[in-house]
Amino acid sequence: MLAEGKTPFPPSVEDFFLPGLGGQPWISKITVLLWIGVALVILFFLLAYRSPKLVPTKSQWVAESMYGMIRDGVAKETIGHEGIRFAPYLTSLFLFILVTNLWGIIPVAQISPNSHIAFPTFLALLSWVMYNYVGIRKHGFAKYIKLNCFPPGTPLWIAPLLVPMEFFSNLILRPITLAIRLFANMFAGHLILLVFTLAGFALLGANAVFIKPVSIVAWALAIVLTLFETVIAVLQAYVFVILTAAYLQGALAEEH
Amino acid sequence: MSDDQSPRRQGAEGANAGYAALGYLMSGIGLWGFLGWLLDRWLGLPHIGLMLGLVVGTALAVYLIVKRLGA
Amino acid sequence: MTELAITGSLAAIGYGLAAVGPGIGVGIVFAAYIQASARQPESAGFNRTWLFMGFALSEALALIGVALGFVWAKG
Repeated sequence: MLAEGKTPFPPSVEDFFLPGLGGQPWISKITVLLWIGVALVILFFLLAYRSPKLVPTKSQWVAESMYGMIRDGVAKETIGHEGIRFAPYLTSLFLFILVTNLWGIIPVAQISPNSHIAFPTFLALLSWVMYNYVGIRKHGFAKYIKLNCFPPGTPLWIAPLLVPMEFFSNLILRPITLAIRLFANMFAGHLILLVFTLAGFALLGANAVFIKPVSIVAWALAIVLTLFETVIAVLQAYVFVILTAAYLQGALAEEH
Repeated sequence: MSDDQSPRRQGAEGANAGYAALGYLMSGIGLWGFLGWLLDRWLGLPHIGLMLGLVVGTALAVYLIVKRLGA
Repeated sequence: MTELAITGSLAAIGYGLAAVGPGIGVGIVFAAYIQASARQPESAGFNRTWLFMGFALSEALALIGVALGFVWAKG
């Protein structure tokens, strides 16, 4: 794709819509990466837990410490003791986002499915439905809405102005920001890597001879930014899970 | 909120508070600014309602943030 | 000498300029909070109110910029 001197230098949004494999429109690289990612997570846990031992084997230890990290570090810390029942959901959410994010770094794959907004949107919707369901089941519909929309301790005359804002930000804006944060980070990350890699080829193909060596700088920056993207990928997966846990905690709390 | 908080917990709380503050600001400014803009369209005013909505929305959002997040 | 022309939305450029100030401001607010609570950890809870007030007031400028950018996008 990049072999020729004619490189499409400024990368655009079209670069994210990869063609279907072998000419058919349904299955593209994104889909395949998604399947492989899901399969990897499932297979890893199946293999690690095929014959659980009291003294864990190496893969069992990795699986247990990952689950333990989310259960103790996120679910228990953020939600409290009753958060343990959400630990399986939070762990699978974390691992799914982590693996799909890391596709953006791994050579040959190098695009994250999460850079298409459909995937973050669905994950955010899942979390949104979940924390609302949990909150409504605990408090009942009317009380849940009241807890979420009525800030305690405000003067009565100002409350009508605040209630729509609370409603909007707590029940509508939250899933949107959750989805957009993940999507934007992955989208921007892929775009940045594209810019620097393609800029290297564009500089190499430049007419002036003394510009050609500058492409080394562009590629070096691309490698540095790839490492930076690794940090972003892990961090965004963690932030998504932390915020989901925080919303669950808010839905379960008696008073914010 | 006791003193023996681990850094991770503090970090999570900080992230949550920061995004909550941003959410309140966005909803306040967006909501009341939009209502003001609608008022402008309805009455044919030159952006007066919009300005008023933005300022009132900001003020309300700041009030709400300080009330909810400021300990 | 060819004529320089900028295509695209001027409002986007305007918003970019408008976001510089709040960006610096938010940075200063949080830097000051971290510094204050590192020097006097017992004042951290008390300063939190002012942290969020300062953050909200400077971030509001950027968000107002977004709103006005949409309103005046067509000139």
